[in-house]
Amino acid sequence: MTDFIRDALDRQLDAAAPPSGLTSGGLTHLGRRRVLRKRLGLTGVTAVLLAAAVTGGLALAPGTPDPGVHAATTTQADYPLPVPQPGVEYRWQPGNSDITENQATRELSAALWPLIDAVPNATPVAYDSNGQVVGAPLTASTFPSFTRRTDRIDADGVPTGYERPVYTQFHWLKFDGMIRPDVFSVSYRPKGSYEFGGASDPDNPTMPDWRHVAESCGHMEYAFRGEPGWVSDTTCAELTGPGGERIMTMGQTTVAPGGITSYSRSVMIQTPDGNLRLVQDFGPTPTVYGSDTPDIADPRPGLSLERLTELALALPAVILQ
Amino acid sequence: MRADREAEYRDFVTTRGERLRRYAYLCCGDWHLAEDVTQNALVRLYAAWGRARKESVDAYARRIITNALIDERRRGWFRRERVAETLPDAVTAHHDDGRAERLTLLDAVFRLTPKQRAAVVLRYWEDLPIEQTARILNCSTGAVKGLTTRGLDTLRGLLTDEVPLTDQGATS
Repeated sequence: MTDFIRDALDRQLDAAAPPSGLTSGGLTHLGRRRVLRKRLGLTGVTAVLLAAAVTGGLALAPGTPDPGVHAATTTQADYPLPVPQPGVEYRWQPGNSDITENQATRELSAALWPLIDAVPNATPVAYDSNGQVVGAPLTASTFPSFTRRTDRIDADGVPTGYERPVYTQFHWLKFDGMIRPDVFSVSYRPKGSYEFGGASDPDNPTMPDWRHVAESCGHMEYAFRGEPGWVSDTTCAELTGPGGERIMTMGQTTVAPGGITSYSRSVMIQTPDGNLRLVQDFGPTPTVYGSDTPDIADPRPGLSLERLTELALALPAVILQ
Repeated sequence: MRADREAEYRDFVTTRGERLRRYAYLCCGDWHLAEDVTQNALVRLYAAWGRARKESVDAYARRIITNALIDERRRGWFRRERVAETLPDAVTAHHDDGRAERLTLLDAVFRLTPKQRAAVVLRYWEDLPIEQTARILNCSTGAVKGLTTRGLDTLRGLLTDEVPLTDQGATS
């Protein structure tokens, strides 16, 4: 059996593996930065920038601002995306959380908890991969905080030097009468680092184009992990907020082969400072993981698009750096 | 890091990096996540290279990858986030016999629990002994036997074609 599994999987992986962006040079560069950061005992942007300066790294793309330049400013810096070159494949490389607390994470975390706590008939909870709620309902002190990560863009697998900060938070929200919770997430992206609205990758319509945060609105039929017969319908609407915000609401229904249906609702808001907020509510998974039998009859998200929009507008504007 | 050790590190990345990325993919079923986790493991390995015994660095990297992916599963989140922001890689449907086999086996492997999957992949794809698999998974050899037995049972039930599955596989 060893030979069967090894040989079969090797053949399958040879056929399925996309090009890798991992290079010995790039990893050595990142490793040096990590070592230097540990030696200096620094964390976050300061350490990254200092390490990059020392090792000669962080070659920014033409026209891209140095994220450190605006560290002391009170206006949002611009992070314009690289101008795409024909025939080049661009891909985001999301980083790990590199800052767990700064002014923006504190402001966002402090603002989100009362909004979630006020959602009627819902309880924020911790949840494990076995499908069980664990521990007591979350409180202001146990509610997950926002974190910051750095995403970069590779062009044909080579780092372009472009980086942007992304602030995110997610938690589970259990609505009364549901046996599993919704997943609720909020993320912020800085001015210039995205295109508003949804658009799909031309080569893979089920994935967003690299400049967007969501795929196209409308109807899609696709294969997922080799299994054809998936259907997704996304209904979008554009609105204008009371402060001139540009708003898009997106309700998505996904039907798996066999008819199991899941739902999500998303609201993206471009605020006057140019930043983007993406607030999403994923309905409870209709089945226990690995099962083909739904045990939730109507797994729609607990929050309506209108309520999600109100919540997104109530979040604060922060400087993303 | 000394130049000679850095050269060793670069050689290791060149020769083993792709294999580790594929191991990560088999554990999580998501190429983007696999590459992220592999990159993180190899960067951490760089920082630990000086004290890592050369013969154990492969296991060290696999342990970091395994723990990171099991943690991700424990969070139960990345699948949802990927669906929302970057839908998973779509794989073209059956076109010939080879591809049909690929879909069936990969699908079956992806239906194992994270720990079962890691144990089966380490034992039967990486061909590691039980003892080394147990060290990477941070569990007992008995637990590895239990994980692989249950994993094989599941694979046996899922695979449509008759496959010679036994639990006498890898060398130990």
